[in-house]
Amino acid sequence: MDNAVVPGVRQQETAEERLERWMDQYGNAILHACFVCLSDVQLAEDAMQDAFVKAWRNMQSFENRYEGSEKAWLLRIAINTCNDYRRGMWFRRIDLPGELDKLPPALISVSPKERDLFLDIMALPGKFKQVILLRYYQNLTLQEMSEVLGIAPSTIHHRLKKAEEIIRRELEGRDNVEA
Amino acid sequence: MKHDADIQRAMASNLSGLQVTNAHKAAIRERTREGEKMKRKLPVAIAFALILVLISVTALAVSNWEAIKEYLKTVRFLTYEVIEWELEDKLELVEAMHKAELIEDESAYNSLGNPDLSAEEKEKICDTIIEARYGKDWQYYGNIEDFEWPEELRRQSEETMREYDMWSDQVNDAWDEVNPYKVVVREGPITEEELMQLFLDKLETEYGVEKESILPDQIALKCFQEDEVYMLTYTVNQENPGKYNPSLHTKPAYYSQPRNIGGDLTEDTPIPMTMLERMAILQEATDSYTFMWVTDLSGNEQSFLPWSMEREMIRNLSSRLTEIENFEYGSFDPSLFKVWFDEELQLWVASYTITEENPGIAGRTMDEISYGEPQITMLEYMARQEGKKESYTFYCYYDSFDRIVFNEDVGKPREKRANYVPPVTSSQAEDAARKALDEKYPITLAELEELRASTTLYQEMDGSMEYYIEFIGYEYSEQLARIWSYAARVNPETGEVLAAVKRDDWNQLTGRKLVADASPEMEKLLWAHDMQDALRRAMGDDSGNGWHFNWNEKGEYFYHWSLEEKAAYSRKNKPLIDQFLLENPEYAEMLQKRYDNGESGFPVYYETTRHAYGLPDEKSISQEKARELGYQAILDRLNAPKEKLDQAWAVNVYYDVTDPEKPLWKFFFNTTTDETGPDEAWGYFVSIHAYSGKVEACYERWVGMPMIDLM
Repeated sequence: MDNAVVPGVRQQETAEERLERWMDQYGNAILHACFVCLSDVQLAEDAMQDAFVKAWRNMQSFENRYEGSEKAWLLRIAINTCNDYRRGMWFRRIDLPGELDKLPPALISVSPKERDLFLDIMALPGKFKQVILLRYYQNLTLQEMSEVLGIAPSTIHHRLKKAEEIIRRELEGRDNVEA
Repeated sequence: MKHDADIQRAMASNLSGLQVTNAHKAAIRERTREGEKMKRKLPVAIAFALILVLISVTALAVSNWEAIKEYLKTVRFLTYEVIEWELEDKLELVEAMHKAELIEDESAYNSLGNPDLSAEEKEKICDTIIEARYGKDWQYYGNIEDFEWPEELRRQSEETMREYDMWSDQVNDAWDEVNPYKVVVREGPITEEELMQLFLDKLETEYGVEKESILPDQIALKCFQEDEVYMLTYTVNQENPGKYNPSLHTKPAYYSQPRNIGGDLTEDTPIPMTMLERMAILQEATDSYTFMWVTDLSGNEQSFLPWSMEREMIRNLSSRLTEIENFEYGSFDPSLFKVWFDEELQLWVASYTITEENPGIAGRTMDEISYGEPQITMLEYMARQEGKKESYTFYCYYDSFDRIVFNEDVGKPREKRANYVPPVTSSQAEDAARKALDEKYPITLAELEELRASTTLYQEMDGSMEYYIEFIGYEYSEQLARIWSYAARVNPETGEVLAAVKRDDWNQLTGRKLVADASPEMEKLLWAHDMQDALRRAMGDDSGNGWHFNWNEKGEYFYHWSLEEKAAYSRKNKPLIDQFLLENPEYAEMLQKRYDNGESGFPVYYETTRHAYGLPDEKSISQEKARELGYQAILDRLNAPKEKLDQAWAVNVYYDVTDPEKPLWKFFFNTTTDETGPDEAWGYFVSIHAYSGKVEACYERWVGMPMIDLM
């Protein structure tokens, strides 16, 4: 590929430099999003790679047309990629606790409560899991989430409410048991 | 939400170890370099013009909000990339656009009604219509609702906002009603163990199967995540016939008590029968029976299916199609399955046929997934494999309901015919096959002679006979036991070689059964291969390549890892493999026997977990000191050439804590080069008592020495 200078804010940034920056800046966010969607470390790594390759292919059209944030655009590609992967996963049994055990050792200590809550989130249906991921982990606004998921903000809001309700029920249920 | 911070912390902490590595980045770079050319840039002026066009389109649509409402309702939930859509998805969008009067070129839309158009042509027209309004790749930049009724306009006044929100809620509620989210009620979510218990209770109360009589391999549980169902099965067969206790049965056990010809009981006490006998009375007599129970994720029953021969065959075939052929389970049309008994073959046959009308859901090979090619339908996929036809039928042939004699994607059964005496002997056929392979591939006749020849005679559907010959090689690479082969088909009447291929190219024409039948030794090798797989799975590696287990982020193989990495690996994986071997003594015995016989080439998961590795404590001598002592011992005791030792290309170090009272420093000086002959030492190994500095072992490495002794 030629060392094309991409027009825009970062005038001196070549396409290769941009890819490097994206990987450095958003790589972990994309990888984490893929894991949340797929519940499988290996698949998440594959999907993350696919997403960056797709982003590379479409870098020019991104530059020309997209007005939102880079991160939202990359997340959108990643989540689309994961949705596509999920179609092929029907027959696979997902053993959530087992998959979490396969995660590399956490750099931040994880309390049992945090692990339970994470399991609850991971056990949500895909549509709900995605909105929780984007809202609470990636800190996106409703509008950005809409860009990522390709659905209207009001629909996002609707899903977010449902997802929160399920988690709240889980948390309160546990709190009551502990009390 | 009051739990915002909790959620954030839970996600951040749990995911913190999952990091993009240099290896990932390198792989991405590599793929972008491999022909992934960036599209030609649009000049900025054109890009700007494009944005203006989009804005004007949007403005046009906004003025027609009432008309567009219905349209947005239809398309609101269209997601995924357009490139992944089926033709009917695109047609649905185009139809909705037409109703909303959003298609400028009506002639294009009208042309879709032409019955002579092919699916490809229709798809092209749809793409043109969609792209004319939303541009290429629109799915990366927004959604139809935002294009047609953007945020800034829908928020232009209080009234519009209210109106839009009301409309939006109505649409969502209506959608929910038709497509309810399958939210699992998680008030005490059922665990798999609990679910299993429910199934066992059910079997006991409804079929009198005593729980204690059920062996673990008779019960299976699968979770279908997407459909949110569990499927549990219980199978009885000759080996595990299952007990039967009639007193537990809710219905009278009519046939468990002998009756006279008038139907009167001849015994007072019921005679216990096995489950297999019971089923043989209730159902058709056969070798085994399977009970299937399907529940939602909360354990609520959706169906309970005792055995039927036809259903079992269909289940078996559909399972094969989903696991091997990439069909999606939900895509099956039950009417396309057929089961019948072929009188001529004396075999049961199950088939599934795909046609233009029922093209099967898109399926892709792993390669296509890896390289991101568009999804294709199964019909298209088969056309690539077999050439274009109107339909394809997938067959399975059974001699009993659960034993597949032969199956092929689109194939015919082949069976042995015992009484046929071929004019061309198998040995002559093998010679002809070797010659053909020698001409076709860079392998010599002598090399082919070295490989094990496995020759089988088959009868084709048309009655003709054929030799199938396989020349099999077997080797261990560092990561995996590998079986490889060349294969050929030879006409036993004429000796003509019909095909000669490398097994990798054989495209699954041969199944494992064929190979295993052909040679007991091959079966043993396959068994070893299975063991490698089982060990890998015991460590939780489903990736199939062991990458995460034997390579670190720097791309270094296990032997070259740091002491910390080896210690962490050992802590995690040694107990898993030890437990696995405890539970599978046949594997443990076989491995021990091989080790005792002085064989090498053990599965890497086994080798790397034979010793426990840790880190030196305060009582240990330093690594440098230990290495110095070891180096000297090799020179003194083995009389190793100093120059050779100094040129070791790697010195692998281990801190062995298998015996915590006697930790060992271990060093392997690897001096093997391309020039090293089979009669020379391939390196030097030394172990040193970590506390006393005493040399515990010191020896040369010879060809065939197991790595277990060098680490």
